[in-house]
Amino acid sequence: MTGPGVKAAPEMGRQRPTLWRRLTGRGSDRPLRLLRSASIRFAAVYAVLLALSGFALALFLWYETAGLLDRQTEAAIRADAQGLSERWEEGGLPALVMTIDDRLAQNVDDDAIYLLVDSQLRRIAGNLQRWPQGVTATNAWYELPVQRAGIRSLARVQRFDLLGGFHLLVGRDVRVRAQLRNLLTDAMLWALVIVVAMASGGALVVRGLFRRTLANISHTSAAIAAGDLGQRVKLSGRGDEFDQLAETINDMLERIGRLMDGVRQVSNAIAHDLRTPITRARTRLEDAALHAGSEAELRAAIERAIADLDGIVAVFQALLRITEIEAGSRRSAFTAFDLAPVLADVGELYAAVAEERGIQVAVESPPQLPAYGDRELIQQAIANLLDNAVKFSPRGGRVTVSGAASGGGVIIRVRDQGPGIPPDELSRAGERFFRGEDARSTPGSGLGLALVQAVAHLHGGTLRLDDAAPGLAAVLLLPMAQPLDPAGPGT
Amino acid sequence: MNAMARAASLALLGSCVALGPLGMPLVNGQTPIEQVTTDTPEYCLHLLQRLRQIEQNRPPPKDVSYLSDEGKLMCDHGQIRAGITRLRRAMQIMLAPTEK
Ligand SMILES: Nc1ncnc2c1ncn2[C@@H]1O[C@H](COP(=O)(O)OP(=O)(O)OP(=O)(O)O)[C@@H](O)[C@H]1O
Ligand SMILES: [Mg+2]
Repeated sequence: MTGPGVKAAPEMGRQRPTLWRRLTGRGSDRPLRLLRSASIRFAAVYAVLLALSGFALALFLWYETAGLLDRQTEAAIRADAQGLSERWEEGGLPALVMTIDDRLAQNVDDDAIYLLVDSQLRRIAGNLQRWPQGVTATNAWYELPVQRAGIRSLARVQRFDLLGGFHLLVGRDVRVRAQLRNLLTDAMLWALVIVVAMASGGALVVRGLFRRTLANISHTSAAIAAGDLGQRVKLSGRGDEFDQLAETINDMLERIGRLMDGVRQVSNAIAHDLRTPITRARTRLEDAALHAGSEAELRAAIERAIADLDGIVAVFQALLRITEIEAGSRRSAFTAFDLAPVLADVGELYAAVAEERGIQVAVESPPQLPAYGDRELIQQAIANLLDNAVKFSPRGGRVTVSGAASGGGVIIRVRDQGPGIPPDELSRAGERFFRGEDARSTPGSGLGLALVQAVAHLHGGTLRLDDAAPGLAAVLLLPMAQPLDPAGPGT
Repeated sequence: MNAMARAASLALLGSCVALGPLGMPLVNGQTPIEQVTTDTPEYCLHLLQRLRQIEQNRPPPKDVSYLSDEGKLMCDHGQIRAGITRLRRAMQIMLAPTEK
C-alpha cells in the first residue's frame, strides 16, 4: 500500500488524513482501529445477518421435525388407547390388565408407558410406580419426566377415564425428540463456529477490497491536501460505483483547478495591468519633482498623474461592479420596462462618436420591446457592446444594433464590420482583463465583455460571440424571468 | 456494531441451550421423576415366567428359545435392559399369531 505519494516531505506525513492511516494500518492503536474500520463493520453486519438467518432456519427445522414426531407419537398413543378401550368393553378389567401386560411384554422399543389405577389411584397394572400428580385432565397432553433403567427421559402421556372410577394413562417416551434437540444444538453450535470463521474471512476479503479501492482515492486526496493539485484519482476501468465516485472527484478537482486558474489569472492581470499606469504616474511625478522648471509645468504633470490614477480607480470600480453583479444582489432591482427607447438612447450616444470616424450606427428595433430586468445594467451592457463595435470598426464601417422579442425574452444583436475575434480567442474574450493581440493599441482594460457576460448571467441569459464574416456579431439573449403583467409584482 | 454482533451470538448460544424447554409444557416445574417399573430384574423374571407358560401350550421355535436363553443369561449377569429386550422379542414372536 506504499504508493508513490509517500515520497513527500516529512511534515506531509503529519497532515495525512487519519483515513489513510486507518486504511494502511499505520496507527498505533491497532485493535481500536480495527473496530473503527468500515469494512469490519460491514463484515460484522454480514455475520449477524448470517447468524440470524441460520438461527431462523434452525428454529423452523426444529418445529417442523419435532412437531412431526409429536404428531406421530400422539397418533400411536390414540390408536393404543383405542385398542385398550375395546378390550375393556369386551372383557372388562381382567382383559384390560392382560392386554396391558401383553403390550408391555412385546414392547421391544422399550418406550411404552401404561398405568391403570382404581378410583383410589391404586395401581392395578402398568409400568409406572404411581399415578403422576399433575395429570388431572382427560383431554390434554402432558410431558412427564420419567426414569427408565437409570436414564432420565421425557414421556408424552394422556389420561383416559373408564367406567367404575378406573383411570388409564397411556404414553410414549419422546427420547428421539430429545436426541433431535441435542443434534440440532450441536449443529447450531458448529454453525456458530462456521459463521464466525466465515465472517472473519469475509471481513478480511471486504477489508482488502476496501483498502485497495479507497487507498487510491485517499492517496490522491492526501496529495492534493499537501498541495499537489495535479493529482487525479486513477480509474479501474470497471465502470463500477468506485469508478463513478472517482470520476466525480476528478470532475470536482478539474473544476476547482479551473476556478483557481481564474483567480490566479485575475490577480495576475490586476497586478500586471495596473502596474503600467501606476508606474507611469510615478515616473511623471518624479520627473516633475526633479525637472519641472515652473509651477505651471509641475501642475500639469500632477494633473496628468491624477488622470492616470483616475483610470486605475475606474478599473477597480468596474471590477467591483462585475463582482457585485455576479453576486446577484441586484436582482431585487428588476423591473418591467420598454427596451426600445434604451436601444435608441445608446445608439444615439455612440452615433456622435462614430460619426467622427466615418462610422455609421443603425438601430433596428420594433416600436415597443417589453423586457424585464435591471434597466441600468442592460443599458450598460449594450453600451459596452456598442463601444467595442465602434472601437474595432474600420473607417467607413457600419455598426448595426438590433433588438427583437424572442420566445419569452429579448434578443439584442450588435454587428460590426471590423476584424472580428479569432476563433481560438472567442471563448476567452469574456474573461476579465482579456484583450486581443490586435487590441493592445486601443484604449481599454478588457473588462467590457466581462461585465456584459455578468449581466447576461444575472438575467439568466447568455452572451454569444459569432463570426459575422466580416466582423463580429455579439448576441445578448435575455430570457424574460417573469411574464409582463401590468398589475404584476414586477411594476 | 460489535456490541450488536456479540449480543447476537450470545442470543444464538442462549437459544441453543433454551431450545430444550421450548414447546414442552412440563406437568410442572418440581414434578418428581416417575419411575418406570419395566426395567427391573423382577420384570425380567416376570417376562421369563410368562414365556415359559406360553411355551407349555406350544413348543417354541428355535429363535425363541435362543432369544429367551440369551435374555435370561443377560438378566442374570445384570444386563437387565438388554435381557428384557431379548425376552420381549421372543415374546413378540410367540404372541404374533394370536395378535393377528
Ligand atoms: N467588436 C469586436 N471586434 C473585434 N474584437 C473585439 C470586439 N469586441 C471585443 N473584441 C476583443 O475582445 C477583447 C475584450 O473586449 P472587452 O470589451 O472586454 O475589452 P476592451 O474593449 O479591450 O476594453 P474595455 O471594454 O474595458 O474598454 C478586446 O480587447 C478585443 O480584442
Ligand atoms: Mg470593450
